[in-house]
Order: sequence, then C-alpha cells, then structure tokens
Amino acid sequence: MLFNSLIFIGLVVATMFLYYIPKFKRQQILLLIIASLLFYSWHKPILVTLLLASATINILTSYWIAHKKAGSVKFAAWIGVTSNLGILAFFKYAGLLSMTLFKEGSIGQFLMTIPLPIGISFFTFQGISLVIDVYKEKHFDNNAIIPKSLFEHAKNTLFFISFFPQLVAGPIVKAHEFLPQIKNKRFSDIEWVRCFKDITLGYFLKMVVADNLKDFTFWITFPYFEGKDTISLLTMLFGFSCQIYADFAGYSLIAIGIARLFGYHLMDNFRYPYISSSFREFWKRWHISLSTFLQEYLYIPLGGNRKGKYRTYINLMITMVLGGLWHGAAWSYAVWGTFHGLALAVERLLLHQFKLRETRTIKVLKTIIVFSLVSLAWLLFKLPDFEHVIGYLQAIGKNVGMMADIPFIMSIMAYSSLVVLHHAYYLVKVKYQNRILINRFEFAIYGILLFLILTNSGIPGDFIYFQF
Amino acid sequence: MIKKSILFCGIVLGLWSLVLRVAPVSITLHSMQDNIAKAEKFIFDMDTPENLIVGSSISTTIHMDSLPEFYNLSLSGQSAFDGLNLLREKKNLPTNVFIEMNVLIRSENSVFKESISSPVMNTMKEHVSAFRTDKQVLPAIIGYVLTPSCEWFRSAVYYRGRGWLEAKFKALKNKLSHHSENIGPSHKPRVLLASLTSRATDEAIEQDSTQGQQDTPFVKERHPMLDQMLGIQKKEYSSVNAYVINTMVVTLTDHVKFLKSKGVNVVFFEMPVNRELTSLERAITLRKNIIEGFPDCEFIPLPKNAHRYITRDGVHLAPEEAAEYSRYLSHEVVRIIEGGKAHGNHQTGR
Repeated sequence: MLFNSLIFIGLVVATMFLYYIPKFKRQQILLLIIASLLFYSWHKPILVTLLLASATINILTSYWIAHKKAGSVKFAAWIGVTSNLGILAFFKYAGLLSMTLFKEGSIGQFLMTIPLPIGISFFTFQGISLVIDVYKEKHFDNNAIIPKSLFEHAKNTLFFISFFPQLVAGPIVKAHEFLPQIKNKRFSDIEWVRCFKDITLGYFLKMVVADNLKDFTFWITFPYFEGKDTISLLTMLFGFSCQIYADFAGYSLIAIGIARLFGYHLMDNFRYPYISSSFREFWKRWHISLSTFLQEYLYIPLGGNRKGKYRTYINLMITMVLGGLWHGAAWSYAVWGTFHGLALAVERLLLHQFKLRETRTIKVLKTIIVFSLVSLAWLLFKLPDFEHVIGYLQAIGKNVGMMADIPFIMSIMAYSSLVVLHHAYYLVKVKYQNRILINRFEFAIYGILLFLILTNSGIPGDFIYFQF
Repeated sequence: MIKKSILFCGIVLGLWSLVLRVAPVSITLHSMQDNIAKAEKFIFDMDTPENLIVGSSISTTIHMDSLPEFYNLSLSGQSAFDGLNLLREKKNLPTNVFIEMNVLIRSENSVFKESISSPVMNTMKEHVSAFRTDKQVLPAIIGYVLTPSCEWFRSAVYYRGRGWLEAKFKALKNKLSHHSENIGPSHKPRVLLASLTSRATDEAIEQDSTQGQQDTPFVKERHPMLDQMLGIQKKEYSSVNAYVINTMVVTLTDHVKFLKSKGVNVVFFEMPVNRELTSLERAITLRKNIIEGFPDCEFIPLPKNAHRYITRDGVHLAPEEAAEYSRYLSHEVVRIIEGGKAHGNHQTGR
C-alpha cells in the first residue's frame, strides 16, 4: 500500500476515527496493530507470517531477558540478535551469496527464488534494538517498560515492530525511543500544525519532486545514458541526488506526520543533508535513524574511537561497509559503503593533519565537494553493475561534443531547484531566526505546496527505499 | 495556519484556472506525461474518431498527415492494450480500430491505468482543466520560459559570443602569422561543428532519398546507438515465453470480441523493424498467433520492401522510413476501407 494511494489515506482516516472514539480507548494499540497488519499484507498477505514470526522471536527473547534470572539472559540475547540477523541474511542476502558462491546448481537457483519481503531491513533492525536495549538496560528500567504480563508485552512489541507509518521504510525506531511512549492518547493532544507541515512537505517532496524527477533520471540506466550529452549526464546525476533525497525524506516526513496524528513521535530522519560541509556532518543529517542505529549498535560496541587511531579507521570502514550492504544485496552497495567509509576515514585523517580556517568560502567549497562526491556515489544505487558506472563516467568525458538537450536539462534543473530552495529556506530561517517576514507568510508557502501536490504531481512511483 | 493554507491553495488554483482560460497552455515534458495527456484528451475532449490506431511508440512515428481521418492513440513505452482499455471508457466507438501488433507481448501498464481510471481524479480533470496533465504549472514554466530563454542564450549569446571570440582569435592568429610561422592548431567549436555535421548529414540523406534502389536501406547514416540497441533487441526477439503469448492471446481475444460485438472493424498491422529482427522467433510467433488466432480480422502485413528498413534503434523508424511506411499504410488502409476484404485476406508478409 503506497502512501500516495487513496486506499492508504482511507486507512489512516478510518483508523484515526476509531482510535480516538472513547469506546475504543482501551483498544488503541490493538487497533493500530490491526491497521498495521492490514497495511503490510495488502499486496502479499503471506508476508505477514514472516513479520509475525520475527515479532514472536523478539517478544519471547526480550521477555526472557527482562524477567528471567541472570544466568540465561546472555544466551537469550544472543538467540534474539542472531535470529534477527539470520532472518535478514536468509531473505535478503541469500541471492547475493548464491550468485557469488554457487553460480550454477540447484542450491543457487533455489536461493535466487527467495523473494525479498518488503521492510525486512527495517523491522529486523528494530527487533535487534529491542533485544539489546532490554539486555543492556542502559536507557530504561526493564521493570517499568516491559510488562509482567506476556500478553501485554507481546501486544506492545508487535505494535512497536509493526507500527504502519514506519514499517516498510523507516525511520528505524529504537526500542528505548518508542516503548516509553506507549500509552493512551487523546485527540486534543494532536499537534495539528506540525502534522500538517510534515505531511504536506512530505507529499510535496515525494509526489511533485521525486515522482517528476524519476522520469528524467530514468535515462541514467544502461544503455540509454550512452546517447546523452555530457551536460545532460552531469545534470542527471544532480537530479538523481535531489530525487533520492526528495523520495526518502518525503517518505520519512509523511511517516513522522502520520505517527504524530496517533500521538507517537518518531525521530527526524533528515536534516537538510546537502548543506553538509563534511562527510561526518552528512551522516549526521542523512538517514539519521540508520546512522545513529549503526553508531549505537555497531560502531560503539566495536570500540568506536576509543581504541586508537588505526582501530578507529577500521571500525569506520566496517560500519560503513555493513551500512552499505544493509541497503541491498549487491556488491555495488558494499562499494558504496566502502566509498563513504573511506571518505570518513580520509576526512578524519586530513582534519588531524591540517587545520583549515573555517572561512565562508572554504565552507562553501567543502560543501560543493561533499555534495559532488555524495552525488557521484549515488550512481551505484542507480547502476548496480560496476561496469555501467565506469561506462557512465566515460560517457561524461566522451560525449562532450554532443549537442546539449536543453529542454531535458531545464526540466531536471527546475524540479531539482525545489530541493535547493528547500535547503536554502532552512539556511535563511536559521540565520535570521524569527526576524524574517517569511514566518508570517508561511501559510502561503504551504498553500503553494498544496496547489502543486494537487496539480503538478508526477506519475506515481514506488519509494526508492522500499527495495531496501 | 492550516485553514489559511488551504484557502491560499484555493486562490492559487483559481488564478491558474483563469490563466488557462486565457492562454492555451498544453505542454508535456516526457513520454509518460505525453501518454496520459493524450489519453485525457481522448477521454474528455474528443468526439470518437472514425478510425483509430492503438499501439506502442513504434506506431507513434506514423505520419498522420497521410491518414487524415485517423487518430493515433499509440503510447510510447506501452502497448496497444492500454489504448484498447481506453476505448472501453468511450461511449461511442470508432468504425475501424487498427492494432499495432509488434509489442503485444507487453501487457497493459498498471501505473498508466491507475492514472487515468481514478474516478475522483477523472471527475476533477473533466471539469477543472488545471488538474489535467498537460496543464501543469511547472512544465509550463519550463517549456514556455526556461527552455526558450536558455535556447536564446545558446544561440544569441553563446554562439555569437563564441563566434566573436573566434573571429578575434583568428585575427590575432593571422596577425601573429606575419611574425612567426609557429602557430598552434586552430580551435574548432566542437558543439557547433557537431550540429553542422548532423545538419549536413540530414541534407545529404534528403538528397539521397532514393527511389528505385531495390536493396539499399532508406537511411544511409546509421544512428550511433543502433548497433548497441539492436544487440539488445536481438536478444529480446530471439526468445518467446509461451505463457506470455497465451496470456496475450486471451486478453486480446477479449478486446476483439468486445469491439466486434459493438460492430467495430478490427485490423491488425505490423510495423517494420530492423531487417535482422523480422524473422526472429518473437516476430514469427506473434505474427502466427495473430493470423491464426483472429481469422475474422484484417491483417496488414509488412511491406514488400521491409528489408530496406534499418531504423534508429532496431525498432523505431527513422524519419525517412516513417514517411515511406506511412505512404504504404495509407495505401493499405484505403484498400481495406474501400475495397473490403476483396484483396488477399490474411497475407503474412513473409
């Protein structure tokens, strides 16, 4: 079920209506679970069994850890984490392994046929977060958060894992952020303006920017890019950078806005990432729920930066390569992760070696370099075959003499400029705080966004991050 | 704030609708948008045409000036099935429907179908033109303001500036040549040169557009992407999936039955593709299934000179080829419409 479909809007409205009726006050969580399972099983009902199986493992192991004696707790945590990773590995990476290890033969063919359940990367990570948070008890007191009744705990956990706004493409919610929020919610507590802003901006980014850009960036695919001129090839890269941001940030904003309608606060997933002047900053602004997850549950347990300079670089590389592979079962994603890992490591090394004065010019220059490199790396998302990536880069050099396709370039630039404006608006707001006139006329901006959603939406396409 | 925003949205929508009443905006930026705009025009604005062509991008190359009583509902990147689905939305049906059979193994496009069959959106599109695909504000700005300005900049400023610089450079070079013989290679504007070369090639093709050369292709200059695209097409044309063919026949039978029941004359036609593809498995199987599966329908075979078609990318006709085929098609159409089935039913073209 797509967020931009009428059926989804119907589901949200119907669920909200029942959710806030006083008669169902005690069944609020149950209602959201039913809506979530309906949402998840809409196209392939069979997939809900995997979601339920994954939830069951997490319910039992976390309950075991929270309420049993210390001796077996570590074992339960181990079972919980490895089961989640096992499910993820089997469903997501079996194809990649079969392609790499058993190119021919029945095992390879069988593994290749396993379908990728939508949202698996997201809900298994949330499961891991639950098991580890309960095991470490660093963020909350188990007795206060994990109910004594197994039924109540099962209900809360299933709700936490399956909550439909964030189920299939995040933001990845950590147990310590979500479980303490579970309680009865009141209609009067809804922050309407905040919800309206998030949902409107989210739909605008997805339907107006990303869905329109996708029909132009389609030409990045092989072999079509070979017929495009150099300026178009570069513009497409820029356009794809804006598209992937608009698509994913749009989805996240809609998810955050809808969750808020039900009284739940999900963490911000994007903070204007393309204004970053370093890779470190980029990862603090891009897919924040994943980067903080990797930081909390992988980088820091590996030792973080506490075990010396070289170990820090190795930890960075491991985290980023695995983060890359999390996106998809193809080696190109590992290369993408390696690229970002290397960039982070080199940047760290350079920062230690050279102390640059942070003038405005240097900051702008650094921002341009970071954006260009990040955009270049997105090519691996669009062209999973590494040979095609090389071909694309060669075409940029080779097709200089071709006549530039101006209408095509202008179309990409126009839709991409909306992402640029979105970032610029943030910078202006930060700089001038509440002194600018724009705050008084914010309603006009949202009015225009609504107008564009209604009249200028692109042909609906899947969210890019659904495939992950 | 929410109420104010909604109100403001309504005001902007009203203003844009006013603009659309005054200025005849109609613009699309890519093929899918073009397809949807074409479909909206067909559903909401048009009286049913006498003759209708449904097909894929291959048929979009047909010159419609040679078929005056026709409407071409061929959709790029899609197949005849999408056009046939659209017909079911019309109250009145055409007298003759011409179905391009080249890409019939491609099933209907679900995204396209959803885009044009939403009852809520269709009602809005029918009554408020601002909701139409070809009346969007951003494409209008791109198409009517940004692109022309940029084109103007390219021709008026860039080329002129470049020309001026080149003249200055040449003058300087000539001046220097009096003093020294050691002059570097002249700088040639690559973009301009490419454009001139392509124009010269176009002119050469026009002059060379020969008649009476029995085996020479209609197009002399091969498209740079031809070999690569032809390789891909050859792979696709070399195999055929029996399940896909069966599904295609079942769906097509349903459409043809519907049209026949309404008294519509159904005619299949095969567009020429690159000569290396016409005898590959997919083309043969499709042809066989259409001829044997629909004996009550007319069939316009490939022209006798089909071996002279090279195409741009293996399947899409180059302008000269499109002109040649359009002449042939109009001749065949006249034969079918006026002469009925008198001449050779179900020719295979092989």
